[in-house]
Amino acid sequence: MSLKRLLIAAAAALTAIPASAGELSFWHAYAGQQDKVEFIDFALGEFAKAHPDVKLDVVAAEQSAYKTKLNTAMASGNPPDVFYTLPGGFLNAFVNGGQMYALDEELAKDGWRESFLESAIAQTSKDGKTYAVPVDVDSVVFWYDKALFTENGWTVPKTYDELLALAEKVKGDGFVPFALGNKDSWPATFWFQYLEMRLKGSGVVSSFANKDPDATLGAEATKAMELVAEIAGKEYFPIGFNGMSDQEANMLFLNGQAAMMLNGTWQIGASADAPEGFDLGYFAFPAVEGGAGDQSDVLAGVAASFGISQKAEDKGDAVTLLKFLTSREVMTKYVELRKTMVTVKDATTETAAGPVLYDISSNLMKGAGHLDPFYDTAMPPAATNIYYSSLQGVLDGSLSPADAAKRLEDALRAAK
Amino acid sequence: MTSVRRWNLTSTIVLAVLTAHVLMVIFPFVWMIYSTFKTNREFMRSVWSLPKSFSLDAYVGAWSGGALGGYAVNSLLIMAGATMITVILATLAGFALSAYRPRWLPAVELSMTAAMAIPAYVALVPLVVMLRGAGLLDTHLGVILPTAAFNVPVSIFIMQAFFNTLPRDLFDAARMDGASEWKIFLRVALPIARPAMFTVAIVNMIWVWNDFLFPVVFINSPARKTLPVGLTDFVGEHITNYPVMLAAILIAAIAPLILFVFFERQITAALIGGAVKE
Repeated sequence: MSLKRLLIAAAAALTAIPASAGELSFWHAYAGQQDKVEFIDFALGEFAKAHPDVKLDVVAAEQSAYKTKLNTAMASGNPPDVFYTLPGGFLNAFVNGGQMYALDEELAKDGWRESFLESAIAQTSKDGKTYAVPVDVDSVVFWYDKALFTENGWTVPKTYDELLALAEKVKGDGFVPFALGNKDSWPATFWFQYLEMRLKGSGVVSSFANKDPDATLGAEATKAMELVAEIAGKEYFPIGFNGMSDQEANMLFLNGQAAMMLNGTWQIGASADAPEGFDLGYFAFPAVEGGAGDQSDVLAGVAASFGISQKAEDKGDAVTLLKFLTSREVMTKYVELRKTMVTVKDATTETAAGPVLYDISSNLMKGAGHLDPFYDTAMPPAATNIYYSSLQGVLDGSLSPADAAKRLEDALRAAK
Repeated sequence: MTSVRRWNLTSTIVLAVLTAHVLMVIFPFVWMIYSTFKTNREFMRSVWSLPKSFSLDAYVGAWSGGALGGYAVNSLLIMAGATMITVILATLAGFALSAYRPRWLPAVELSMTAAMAIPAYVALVPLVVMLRGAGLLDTHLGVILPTAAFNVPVSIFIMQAFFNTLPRDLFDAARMDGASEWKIFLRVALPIARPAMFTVAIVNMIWVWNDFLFPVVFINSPARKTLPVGLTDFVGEHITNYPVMLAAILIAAIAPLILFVFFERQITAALIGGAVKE
């Protein structure tokens, strides 16, 4: 390519026109994964039909890149009008910076607030005000291949001791008891959180976020860390799990090399390409004997939400978009395409959800004493990093359970 | 017919080690290629096995799913722009700093070292503010300029180190013949510096081509995305279609491959040129 031609090309790139002022900018993270793309294409296509007067300037990025991109845009005072955001600590940072438009007034109209599950709205609220509308809920359960269990004569455990006994048996039969790929640090947090919930009770990390003066992880955190270390020490996880990705661990599980997996409801979608004969089943995290928590509690958190920037010029159009995205029709389609539960009441229908997800939604979730949101998203980002690193330390044996629990407690106090 | 190769233990061992090495290096590519012919279900069942049937669906999916061709053009433009700016600035500055050795040279060197120590992440927010002010957000130039700025210091060091190896008599002789400083630079220094310039260009091309952070943050329009950013279209948070993703990566690798084939001689020359004093 000649120099001249390159200069012409560069000049062409220079004259590219940025989005015009009359458009509503909408940023989301529904990219990369086929079901996500299908959903957003559907939702935006329908929106364009229903509201041809509202012009959207849509920016999509894949989840992890999206976080960097959105954080930079927010910090540089150049926020999009309407955007996808994680609930909890990620959203609260924007709320603290006065960048989020409070939605309470709008939610009060036309029963919009009542269309959401109250427990979900709580996860996008801070100090009594709601700053985003929740979209989907993921809950964590034990997954297993029913066929593999039948073949080997294994039975679903009811208590934690039974779970450990089963793991020993599974290992003896030459399988990996629990598939876990902890490279990205979040997969192992489910183990710690469930044990903490069973031993101490739900709402522990939320109480820190709500500035409760009595908030503490308690001595139970050390015990929970010890139990996690025990599982790792007995080699119930795959070899090299701290360097393995969640998707690599999933291959062990789907191929029948690993018996169980403690993972979110996205497992249903991830199992769609499982080899024939694979029959996905689930069971609740078993009861820990002597634990002070309500043993029916479920780890279930809002995975994503949509908010409006304080700087958005046309709040009316922005609200119209949010109302459309969280309408029952769009949300039912969300369930159908993504096989994930949504926060809008009665949108997780049996036909859309399929048998396994519908069972979780209508039995496990409805029968739960409490729903406890994901610790790692509920806490401020700085504490999350310490949570991740101390748990990894416990898993690879470089950090004692007591030290890890103390680090986490200190981080939560410091962030309070 | 006379040169019957004699069996030699040493050469056999060397050959065996080299063969093993080559196989290890090549296998990931071979694996990538044959994996693209599998379905995701087949891939999930067994990562290593050969495909049962020959299917081009992954390539169709990769080509239609993402606008890979457009991304490649964007990547090329940004790579060419940033590399050209960097090489020109680095050659000029490297020559000046080496040939004239100004009194404040240590200060310049210190400031360049300090600039090199600044991680790109720290500069993101101010950069976005500046780019928006200049109207360059979401343009190719908005990626080219900061990228060049970040790569210039280390490139100057490479060029300066190269010019330092040249005998000063060379320039003095030209001066005695009445050549202007510009002429010395253009006619004497530049032709000799070609291998070093190629070295700088090649490292820069690799950096810019692979850069993810600046394009992902500064570019919003799908039509202006670069390849590394575009490739994330194929990675899921929880679910990934591996054959399609691998096909996309292979398609994306074609451009640098062509570039390498075209410039192979210069690249090799540049690498050797950089290795020894001339």
